[in-house]
Amino acid sequence: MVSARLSLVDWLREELRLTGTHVGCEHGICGACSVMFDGEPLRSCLVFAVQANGHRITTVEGLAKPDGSLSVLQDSFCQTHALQCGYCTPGMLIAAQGLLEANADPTEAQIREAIGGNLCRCTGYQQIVDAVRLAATRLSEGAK
Amino acid sequence: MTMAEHPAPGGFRYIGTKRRTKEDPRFVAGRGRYAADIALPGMKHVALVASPYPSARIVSIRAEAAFALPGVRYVLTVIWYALCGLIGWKLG
Repeated sequence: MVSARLSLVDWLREELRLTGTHVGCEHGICGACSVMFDGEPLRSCLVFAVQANGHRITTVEGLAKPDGSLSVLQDSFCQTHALQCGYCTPGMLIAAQGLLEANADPTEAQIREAIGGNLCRCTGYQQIVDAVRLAATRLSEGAK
Repeated sequence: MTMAEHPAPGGFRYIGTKRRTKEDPRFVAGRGRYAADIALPGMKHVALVASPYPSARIVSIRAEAAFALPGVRYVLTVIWYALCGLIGWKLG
């Protein structure tokens, strides 16, 4: 039984103990709490857990391959040093995942637009843009 | 890119070479461990209450209403801390 006032992010973190999804601003500005909601990025601090009933949610923990190894996108973040503290990273990965699923060959401007709703306070955005671009290239070359 | 494409100018093993960060894989996998991710048995949470007045003298702190809330274990005020310090009592 889920309390009607419980946000989706609190349910994921506190009830399911999926703490990869982070709580940043709690009012939809920072994007750290982003999850895939029926295949599209969504801020899980802005919806109640009960609203997710019947929908398909993927958190950062679900981005890895079935065998647990890193996805091409996750590995690309490591390759280009797209994180320092890592707090914004789950949201960045979700935003990038949503972009790449809709657009396999995004331009730098499209990448910047896609992560425009996600705040990073340490790395700066260039390496994150580089990571998404690298992932797109790798995926187009058939990397699994 | 691989490390082989970036030979160190000075022939060093680490300096000047392109290297991966050891801790990154767990962060991109959602397995970082931040303070807010930690859940210990019997762990309690703190809610800080700031003064609602920008400039005022504290005459008293009445905690009855806070204590009456379900699940409230302690209401800590500066007076409480001073008493604990005097008798050397620690929170359990």
